Amino acid sequence: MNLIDKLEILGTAAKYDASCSSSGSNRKGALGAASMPGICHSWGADGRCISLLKILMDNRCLYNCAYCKNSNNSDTKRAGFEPNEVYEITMNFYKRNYIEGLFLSSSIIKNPDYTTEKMIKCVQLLRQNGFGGYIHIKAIPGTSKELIDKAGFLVDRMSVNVEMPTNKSLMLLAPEKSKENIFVPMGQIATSIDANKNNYLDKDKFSPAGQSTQLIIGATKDSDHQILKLTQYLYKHYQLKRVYYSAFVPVTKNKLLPTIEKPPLLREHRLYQADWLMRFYGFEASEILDDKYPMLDDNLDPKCIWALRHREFFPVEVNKASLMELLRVPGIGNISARRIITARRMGSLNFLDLKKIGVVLKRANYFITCSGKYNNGIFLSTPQIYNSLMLSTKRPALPMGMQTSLFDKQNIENANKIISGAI
Amino acid sequence: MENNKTIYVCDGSIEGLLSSVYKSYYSDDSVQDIIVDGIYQSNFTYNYQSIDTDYENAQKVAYAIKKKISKLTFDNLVQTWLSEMPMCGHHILEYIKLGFKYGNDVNSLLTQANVEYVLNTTRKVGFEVHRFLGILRFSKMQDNTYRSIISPDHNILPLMADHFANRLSTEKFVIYDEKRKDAILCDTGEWFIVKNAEIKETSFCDDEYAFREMWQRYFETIAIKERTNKKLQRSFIPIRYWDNITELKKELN
Repeated sequence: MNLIDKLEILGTAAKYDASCSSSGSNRKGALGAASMPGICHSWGADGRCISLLKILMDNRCLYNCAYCKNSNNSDTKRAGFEPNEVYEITMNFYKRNYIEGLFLSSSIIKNPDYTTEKMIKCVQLLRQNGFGGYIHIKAIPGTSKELIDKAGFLVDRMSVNVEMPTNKSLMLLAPEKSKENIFVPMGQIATSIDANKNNYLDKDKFSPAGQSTQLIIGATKDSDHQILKLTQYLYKHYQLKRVYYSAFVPVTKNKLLPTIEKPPLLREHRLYQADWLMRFYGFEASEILDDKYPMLDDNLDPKCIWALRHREFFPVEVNKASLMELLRVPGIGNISARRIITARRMGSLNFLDLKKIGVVLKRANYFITCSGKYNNGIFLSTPQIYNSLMLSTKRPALPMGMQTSLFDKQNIENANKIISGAI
Repeated sequence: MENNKTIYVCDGSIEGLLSSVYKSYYSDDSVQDIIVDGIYQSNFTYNYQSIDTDYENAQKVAYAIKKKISKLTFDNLVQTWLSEMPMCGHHILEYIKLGFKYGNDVNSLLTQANVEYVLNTTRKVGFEVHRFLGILRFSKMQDNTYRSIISPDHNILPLMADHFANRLSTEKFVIYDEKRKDAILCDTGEWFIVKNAEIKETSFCDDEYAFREMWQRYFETIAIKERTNKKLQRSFIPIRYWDNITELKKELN
């Protein structure tokens, strides 16, 4: 088989992994370097960025995970790379500035250790030849401690995919994997990262850009609440840099899987928003969802929903509020909040000033005051706010053909549901 | 002087800009704008005065700004100047005046019009630099050098050179800005800029087409059909850049 066909097969096999970032490392080699903020090099027809050459080492798999295209009994083309082939493609793509580095994963060939050894050979070949670009490698569940340790010192990021949000789902869809197989290496990586984080030389750093994982969304019945609780646990206990969510795309036919027409992209989007709230806005999973509201709202983003349920927290006074308070206002993000704090040192701010410094008032309007005053013409009943926030979202919130109106009965009901949650 | 509203005309370089700033501080002219020679149409309202670039004076101004205001302020105004936007000279001049008054706090005056303009433009140029660090494509030529042709909105070439020189430190490469006819030449880490460069017709290295084809195929493969979202793609990578991007050029036709 020639190289281009292999690349097609093993690129196809790897594309459902959502992880894409190339940030967090400042490695420098004889050829190539990593960039701290990360760089996206292209965007595919699905709008996802291409930063790393994302491929599998091999897609001949021993396992039979129900959701996976590469599972043993699925009918798909099979191929495997040799280390020097991966080396050639990576180097040549890198020099042409197509990519930021390599993302190497693999199906499980023979056994986890054999697979990991083969992947390590690729990475070693690159590093021995002075390659300083970004490398992200998957820790294959079930790999020995020694091999994970060896890989960690060669790469910039490692990840173990959790895939299934609950143990029950894992047992159902991926019976050959076990919870221990996933969380033991994750814990090992977290410990090694922490132990080596202050080392100065690139070769002494263990996965300096941290570790990440991925959850598949919509292949099982798990609720958003369960997913967010797990996410928070992963961030707190394993110091993960990112948890990626991958909307389930039905690539295999299996009785255990739901039949869906389209991947749940909106749900994935809302989960990312909630994830951001936990990572950058000081929110706890329990503030975003609870047993009473186990799913994220389709119509409004999680921060808006939180704000509507916690009217007692508002209004926030722009000229006095702390950074953490400003960050709770819908429509004010990290950049806006920091700009407000910078600008108000030079004099108090009014609504016009906010516009000038780039704060978008569309949503923030209802939740802030400037020197004790609301913006002109702002109404304050929760159903009204809910409605106008709905109308202001660009996304077509409703199924095609349905129009939303300010007095839509359904909206009023939705709004009432949300308020009642606060009481 | 009857009409003292003046516009300074410089050669377009950073040194030219700084020489003009120097001149404006030591003359009575009420300087309204600093513009680049050759790209303006004069009118009766203003007095046009040509400013010769003086490297010594430029150095003095650069030093004073870095020392008395801040390095950040200097970087901001350089980046704003490279935006080549109309009126940017005017805003830079006012920004510097405010800088000497307030020190580095000038960068906190987010609601002041000139500061707002400079900071926004700096951000815009910085964003384009970052974008090009990703979407710039090299081709390997017959003589084993790497060549890239770009056509950015702003004059970002000087801001990108260090990045690529650092990365491709074992290679020789050329980045050519076809809009401004400037080129960066870099040989194993050392770079310089050539003005009014001309690009020679040379042929590609033998394996160039093979790798292009591989990249093209990979690019098409990696998109998930069920998630197709061309609008999102275009918002990240606007069509005006596609002509110089190996994997997207084909889609233009």
